[in-house]
This record gives sequence, C-alpha cells and structure tokens, in this order.
Amino acid sequence: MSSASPRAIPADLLPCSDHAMKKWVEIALGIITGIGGFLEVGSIATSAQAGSEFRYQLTWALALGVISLAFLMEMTGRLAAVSKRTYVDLLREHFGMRFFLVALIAVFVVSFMVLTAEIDGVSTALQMATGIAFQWWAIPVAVVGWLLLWRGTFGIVEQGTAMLGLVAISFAVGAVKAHPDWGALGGAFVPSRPTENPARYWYLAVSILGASISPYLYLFYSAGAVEDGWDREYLSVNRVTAGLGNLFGGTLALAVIGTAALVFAPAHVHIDKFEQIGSLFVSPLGRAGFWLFVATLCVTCFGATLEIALSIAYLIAQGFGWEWSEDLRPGRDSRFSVTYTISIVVAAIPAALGISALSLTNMSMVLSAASLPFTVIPLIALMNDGKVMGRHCNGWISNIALICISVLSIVLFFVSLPLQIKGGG
Amino acid sequence: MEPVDGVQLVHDVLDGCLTDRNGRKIGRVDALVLTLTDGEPLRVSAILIGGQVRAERVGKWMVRLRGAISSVLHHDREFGVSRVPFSAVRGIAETIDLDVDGATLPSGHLERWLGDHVTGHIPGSQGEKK
Repeated sequence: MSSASPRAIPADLLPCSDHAMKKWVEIALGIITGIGGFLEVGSIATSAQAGSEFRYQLTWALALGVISLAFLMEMTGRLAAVSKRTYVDLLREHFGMRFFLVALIAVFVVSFMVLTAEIDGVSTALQMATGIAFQWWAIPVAVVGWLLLWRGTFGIVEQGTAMLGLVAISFAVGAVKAHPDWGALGGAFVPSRPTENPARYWYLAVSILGASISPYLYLFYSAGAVEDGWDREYLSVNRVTAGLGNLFGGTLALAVIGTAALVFAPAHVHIDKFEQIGSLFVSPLGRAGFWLFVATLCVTCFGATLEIALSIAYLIAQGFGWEWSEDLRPGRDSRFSVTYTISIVVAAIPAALGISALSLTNMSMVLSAASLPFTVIPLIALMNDGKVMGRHCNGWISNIALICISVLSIVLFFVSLPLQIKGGG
Repeated sequence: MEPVDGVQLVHDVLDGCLTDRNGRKIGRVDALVLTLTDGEPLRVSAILIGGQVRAERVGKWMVRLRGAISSVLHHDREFGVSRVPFSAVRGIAETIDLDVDGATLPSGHLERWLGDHVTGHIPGSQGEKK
C-alpha cells in the first residue's frame, strides 16, 4: 500500500488561475494518488486470504485499518503543513535521541521487510506475465526502481506510479460483476467471532491491519507534504486527500475480499502462493481479468517499492538532520541518495536468491502492525502541543480516534508474535 | 542574531535541525556545551554535532559499539565531531540557522566522502532532475 500527497500545481500550468480551481485539481490528484496507491502486495495478499478462508467476515478489519490510516495521514499531514517539519523531524526533536533510535530501528526493520515483499510482488507479477522465474526479475526491478529514484523527481515517483495504478479500478469492476451478497458484505463491517480456526482468523485480522497501517505510509505522506511545500492553506486539501483517497483505495481492497469470498471460498482454496491469486478475477472478467490482476500487482508493488525505499532514506536523513529531497540532484544529498540506493538493492537480494513466500509477506505485515506503538503514541503529544500546532491542535474527535488507534497499536504489539506462531502456518 | 524570546534549550534547541549559511541541512544539535566562569552567569557556549556525541546520549553500549567501529576504521574517538560556537546561531525557528560553512565541518565528512567516492562517479548525480 502506498500513500502520497497532492503536488502544488504552478498557477501558470493551470487552464484557470482561479484559486478554488487549483485546490480542486490538487484534491483530485490526491484522491487519484490514494486510489492508485492504496493496494500493494500486502493488502492484496491478506485480503485474498481473508476472503478465501473467512468469506466477508474480516471486512471489519479492513475498515478499521482504512479509518485508522486516514486519521494518521490527516494528522501527520496537518503536522507537516503547520510546523513545516516532517513527523520524523518532530519525533527526534521532541522525544530525544534514545526514543528516536528505538523508533528508527523498529520502523527501519519493518519497512525493509515490506520493501523486500514489494520487490518480490513485482517480480512475481512479471513471472506470471512472462513465464520467466521471478528471481531473474528481482535485480532488474531494483535497478529500474533505483534509476527512477536517481533521475526522477518526487512528483514523478508519486504521481507517475499512482496514475498507472488506476488500473486497480478493474478490481472494483470485477467485484461488482461477481455479484457479491451486499447484505452479508455490509453486515461484515461489524466484527464477529470466527466459527472455526480462531488463531488463523485473528492472525489474518492482524495481517490486514498491518498491511493497512504500515508506518512508512504516514511517514512518506508527511515527508511528501514538506517536499511539496504545504502550509496552512493545504489543511483542507490534506483532510480530503487523507479521507477520500484512503476510502477509495480501501474499497479496492474490499473488492479483493468480496471476490475471493465468491471465487475461492466455495472451492476451499487455501492461498499459499501469489500465483493462486492470479485467477481471482478470471471468473468475473474472463482472460482480461488475469492480465488486469497481473498489471495491478506489478504497478502497485512497484510504486510501493519506490515509496518505501524513499521512506527509509527519509527516516534516516530526517532523523540525523542530513540534507534530503527527492527533488535535489543526488550529488547534493549523497547520504540520502546512497541510503535509498543501498536499501533497494539489498532488498532485492532475497528474491534474487529465489526466496519468495507468501508467509514472509504475511510476517512483514504482522511485524508492521507490531511496530505501530513507536510511531502512533508520540502523535498524541505532538498533536496537542500548542507550540507545534498553534490553533491547529487536535480536536476531541481526532483525539478520541488517536487514543483508540494507540490502544489498538498496543494490543497489536502484544498479540502479533503469538498469533504469528499460532496462526501463521 | 534575530531577536528570539522564550527559547527553551531542550524543547527548542537540543535535537533541532541545523542549517548552514547556504541553507543546507548539516545535522542536528546532538549536545549543548554550558560554560560557567567565575563571576559570570551560566551560558551556552557551543553546539556539538557528531556520532560520538549521539552515542554518549544513547548509552554505554552505543559508545562501545561506536568505539569498535572507529578502531576498525582507524578513526580516533572524536572523529567527525563538530564544535560550533553558540555565537554562530543566527536564528531559531523550524531550523536553527548557523553562520558557518557546513562543507568544512568535521561532522560533514561522510557526506563529502560519499560525494567524492560514490555519487560523484555515478552518471546523473550532478545533472538536473527530470
């Protein structure tokens, strides 16, 4: 899953220089970015597994993840727009070196694991398209990704992949054509206890939450807001982007759950390989469904690969006060550009060695969920610090939501490992 | 220095992001040096930037780890530590602006080394971003 902020559009590039029109264009771009960027290897895999094993029953976990992420993105975007600093900047400045180091290690480890899974996802999509084994694709994928980061600007990375990711809308078309039971789907927004295999049920719930609320998502969003020069004028854009972008993106993940419930569950398909998911949309969309799935998996995982590699570099560069910007020439921020270079190349090694397992993707999503307290709980203090936020501190709705997400993150921290052991098989 | 009022050293200065006179980010305030001389009030005399200073803030295990790395690289303990007089501070806001050239500071050695030996040799590192 990926996320992004809408770019500031130069007034002279717009057909109408009207301020309101400019805002609408930015909002539209932000929503498109959210739609194209929401899906990635983790959300596709966990949603397909959930649908095939528990039909619609885990829809509530996806909804909870989408709502939580929308709140976290809105807050980190607002933080960046008001303070002109990224969330990582403020983590270091307000919580000191010791706490920052713990958060850095936690986020770095899970982000790196997710990056490995994304490169695996792109390589698997290319294997499905060409028949050439995935391990041959891993290094070329990393090199193309690196070239885009090396030569491209933040806008190219963010919006280029998001625009291509619009192919994911085919998931919604496929789901509607599969004729889901809308009543049952709607009812599944309310959590229910599993009738069988509770360990697996809760394990998949945690996996879905981990795929939905990966820390790199809101760290990247916050850095993107600073890259794009957001200020207080962008607060409404931020609110709409975080809300609608994630809502539409989450709808596509829901389409995967709904279709898997109709296609895989009746045949008792237990998904343990990416390739099995390739037939998900063949039933509603015919042969085109296979190619649309492969294209979506490839593009969305590639977009996430770029964003996670950048997120890792943002995390380290911002934490230590290095010069950083994807818009700068790499020679002007050597430490930053070398960091994303090393990250993307090293993350390709497991796939290049032939290590590809859906269980590893699941594990990275579960660990991602476990790492949440380190980046969620500090937000409570920052979003209520008048010296940082001025009159844009959290209101009571945002604070209740943030406290609930914090409690959820603590629960996930404690249950993730036991569930990985009991339900991850 | 621009007039500032009500600056809290820990909240507003320690760990703050530093920029040099060219507006480039050059690190963070890893530590502050306080000086007490006879008959004078306590004053902040310098800003310290560098890995060794950060390691000391984290704990003994980090100091030992860093010491081991330094001995492998044949660096002395204080290698890469910059000591900037507090009088060089020109402003305290989102960043702390210093009247120094960051390119000459010891703490910028990794950026310079990577620029000279790695990124400088890769095509596209100096061209305009497309």
